[in-house]
Formats: sequence, structure tokens, C-alpha cells
Amino acid sequence: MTNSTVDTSNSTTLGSTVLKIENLTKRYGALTVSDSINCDLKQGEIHTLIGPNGAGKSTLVGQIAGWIKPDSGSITLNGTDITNMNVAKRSRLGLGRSFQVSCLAMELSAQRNVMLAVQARQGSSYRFWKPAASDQSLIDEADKILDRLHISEFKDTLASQLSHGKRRELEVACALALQPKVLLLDEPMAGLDPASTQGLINFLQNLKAEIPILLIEHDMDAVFQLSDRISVLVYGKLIFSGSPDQIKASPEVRKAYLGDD
Amino acid sequence: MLNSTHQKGFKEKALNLIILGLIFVTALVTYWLDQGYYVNLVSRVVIFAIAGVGLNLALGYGGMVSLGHAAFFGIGGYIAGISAMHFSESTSFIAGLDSTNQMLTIWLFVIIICALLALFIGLISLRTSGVYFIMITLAFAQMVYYFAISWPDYGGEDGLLISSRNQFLGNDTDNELVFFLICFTVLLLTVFLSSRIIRSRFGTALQVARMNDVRLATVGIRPYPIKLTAFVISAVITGIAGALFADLNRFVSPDMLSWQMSGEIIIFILLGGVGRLSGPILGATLFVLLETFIGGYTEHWKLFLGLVLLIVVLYANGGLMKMVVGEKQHD
Repeated sequence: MTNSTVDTSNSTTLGSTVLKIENLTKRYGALTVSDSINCDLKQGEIHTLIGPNGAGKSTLVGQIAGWIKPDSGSITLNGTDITNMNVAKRSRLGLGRSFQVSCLAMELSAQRNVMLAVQARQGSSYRFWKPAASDQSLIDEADKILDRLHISEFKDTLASQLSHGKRRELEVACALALQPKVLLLDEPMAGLDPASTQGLINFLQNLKAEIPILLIEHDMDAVFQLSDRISVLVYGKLIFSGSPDQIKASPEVRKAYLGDD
Repeated sequence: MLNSTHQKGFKEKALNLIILGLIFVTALVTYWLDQGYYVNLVSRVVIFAIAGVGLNLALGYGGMVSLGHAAFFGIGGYIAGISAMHFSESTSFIAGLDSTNQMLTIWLFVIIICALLALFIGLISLRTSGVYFIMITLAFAQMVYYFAISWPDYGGEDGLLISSRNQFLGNDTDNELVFFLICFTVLLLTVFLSSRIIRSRFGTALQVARMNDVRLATVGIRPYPIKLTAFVISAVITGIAGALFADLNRFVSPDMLSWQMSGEIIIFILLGGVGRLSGPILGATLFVLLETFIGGYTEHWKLFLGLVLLIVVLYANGGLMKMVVGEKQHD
């Protein structure tokens, strides 16, 4: 009941649906990790998925990104069915993401990591002659994005030598370089110090008008500050979906997730 | 820090030039001293180096440890040998093609056939990784090896003698220096080609495929076709080396297709430095030096090779290049 009212209010205030997940189901043997999940992301919003450990968040992210094949159901990005597409193709269609555990080219500098993403977006990885490192079209765009995330000072630092927090910001930078239609951020605040966390919150707050964000996050302060909608995943099921205030008020969510206190 | 990076990059470039210069000078000097044997020895180094530069593209930059590159090396050799045989007998190829003894035409064949075979082997092998990739490339190479052994028309187990070397345009390829210069030019071209490739956008993608293929896929580049392309280019270069090797020895045999050969090409890279431009050249030089000078005293020279390999891997993981110019740099 609550769901439908929230949804209609959202569709009037927010834009059209960008990412749509319908009846997504994944089983590992007898264990149903995703139990007919229905969920969507609309233009201009941050929709956050929360849930206790083992709720199936990572499996859901894996299915959206393309690493895990669902047993049934569908995922649609801007009207295109991406359920059976490989990871690279989804990225090219506009699905940008960051990882729970940093996933960068560790032997390359921060700048080169972003330049790789720029190169991929330009769709030009089968050029064999011109040196990439001195390619001004890659450098300029990468520098702009690094600047936007305020990590320009680290651009020559190898990803392996960056702090945990900076790596997360660099991942977001790489995702942005793809000029994605949707951002899928898997715990971007984990391991960030309070100042960086606030910095990233402000950044995402400003970004959402441009790119809608599906966020997985444990930091509840960040979740309540950022989210337009929150969905709660427990044992593979989406048990509740609503605004932050509705989440706080919901007795079911309290019981399942926030604790009784 | 940036400064030292540039200095190291400069040092590496300087070393690359010094190595190539030394090889060139050695060939000239030994030729001038009328030591044809030693000129051929330098050509042997150069040919092994070409094979190594080829494999390095797949193994060093792309992280594809192929234990099957002897297949391409040997096929290159057999194409050269079979062409020479048909030409001397004035018979035609199986398909009724006119035979030729022109190296350039032969190399074109080598390129086409090695590329097709590498495409086929790569398509299947690259579905696996790690140890499985090693074993499956080995299995393919062994198939080619046994095929060559069981084909009596072209010498079977005994191999095939090349009565006179294939020709390079109008040059006298029987002259040791001329033959060396042909090999050396091919080496320069392959080194130049691979230095362009690894620094290009494709090369960046290839190296990220090695470092972290999840990252590559996430930015929207499928690792599989990138690796496959590199595997094919790598095979073609190794195949050309094989054609030169057959002409150098005026002989081709299934030994060129054996897994030991694949292992030796890997050893060139390991000794010299994995993923370093001059690594295989240094490695091949050291290999041939050991083979010639210790091999002159004892047929068990590979014992020493093993010892050197052990020391390099244990104490200079990164090969001779790392010992001389330090850690690899990404520009």
C-alpha cells in the first residue's frame, strides 16, 4: 500500500524510469538469494538499497552489473533489455559502477586509470599506433574529472599507492568518465574518513540531477542524507520501499534491520 | 619522483639502443674477422630475440603464458622449408600454388597461416586462464608437433633439409652478413612495432587485461577480443622468427615444434625481463652464450641454464632488465 503511494508521488516529482528490475530471481541450490525483486531508478534520484549482511545485496549488484546471470526476471536500462548482455556491453550502454572492494589497474597512475575509461567511452581501443599516454584528448578529459572529484593532486600516484578512500573516489571518477546514464555505487563510503565521506555526500548530492544513482551503503547517516528513496532487502526479498522518513517510521524495517532500540 | 621515473625510462631506452648496437657491432666485427660461424651465432641470437619479442606481447604484456608458441615458430620454419624444397624441385604447393623462394612472399604466407592458426587456438584457449591456458596451448602445439612427425612428404621425424636458403629480393642470403642484416632488420621492425603497440590505446587495454580484467570490462572493453588480437600478433611475429630460423640452419625439423622450444622462448623472456621491450633480446643473448660456451665444454649445459634461471627468478624477479635499469615503468 505504502509502496504505491510513494511511487506515484515520485513519478510526478522525479523523471522517467532509467533502470528497471523486474521479478529478478537468483537461486543457489535451495537458497534463494534474489527473490522476485522489483525495483527501479528514476531520473534525478538517489535510490539506496540497504539490508543486513547476507541479504543478497552483492548478488543483486552482480546481476545488475552483469557478472551474475539471474535465473529469471529482467533488467532494463533506458528501455533496452540488458538481462543477457555482457559486462562490457552494459558499461557501453551507460551503466557505470564502483566496487565494494577496489577494482582498479593498480600498476597505473590515477590519471591513467581515468584515461582508460575515457578511451573506452570514445570506443577506440583498437588503435595500435599513437601513444595513449600523451594523447591530449584523453588527458584533458581525465584531468577534468579528477578535478571534479578533487583528487587532481594524486593524478600521478599509482593506484596501488593511493589510500583506501582515494581509491574509492578514483573508482567513482572512472565511472563518471564513461558518462553513464546510471551509476551503481557499491558502498562508496566504506573506509572513508568523516571529511571525505561528507565530501563524497555533497558530491553525489550535486551529481544526482545529472546521473541517477543506485546506491548500496551501510553508513546510515549518509543514506538518510542522500536518499530520495530507500529499499530494504532482507533474505533476498525487498520488504519495503519508501522515503527516508517512511523508512524510519516503518515498524517492519525497524524490526528487520535497524533494530528495536 | 616524476623525475626519477623519467630518468629510469630514459635509462631503459638507452639500454635498448646499447643492446641493439652491441649486437650489430658484434656481427660486423666477427664478419670482418672472417668468423662466419660467429656471425651466424649472432643471427641465432637475433632470431630467438624476435621469437621472444613476439611471445612477450602475449606473455609479458597480456599475461597469456602460452606454452604453445613453438607451434608458430615451427610452422614458420616449415613454410620456409617446404617452399625451398618445392622451389628446388620445381614442383608446386599442394593447392597447385607456384612455389617461391622469395622470403617476402614466404613471410606473407607465414603471417596468414600463423594468424589463422593463432585465431583458432586463441579462440578456444582464451576461454580459460592460468594453468588451464598453459596446458591447452601446450596441447595444441603438441598436435601440430605430432602432425609434422607423421607427415612423411616433408621429412616426418627426420626433418627437412633446405638445399639453398630462400632469397631476399636480389641479395645473396648465403652471405652470413647479408643474412644477419635481414634478421636484424626484422628484429628492429618487430621491436619498433611492439613498442608502438604497447604504448597505444590497444596496448593500454591489453596491459589492463593482464592487471585486472574486471576493471577493463567495467569500463566497457571486453578483455577477450583484446587478448585474442594480441595473441594473433604475437604468433605472427614468432612465426616470422621461425621462417628465419629454418633458413639460418638450412634445416627444419619437428624439434622446432616441440614443447622444449616453447619453453625456451619463455626462458628468453624470463631471463631478460617479462614485459620489457629488450627483455627477450637480453635473454636470448644470454641463452645462446651459455649454449655455445658452456655447451662447448659439456652437453649438460642446460644444468647451468637452469641454475642461472633459478638465480634470476629468485634474486632478480624481473630479469636482467630489472637488475640493470630497475623496476618497470608505465608511462
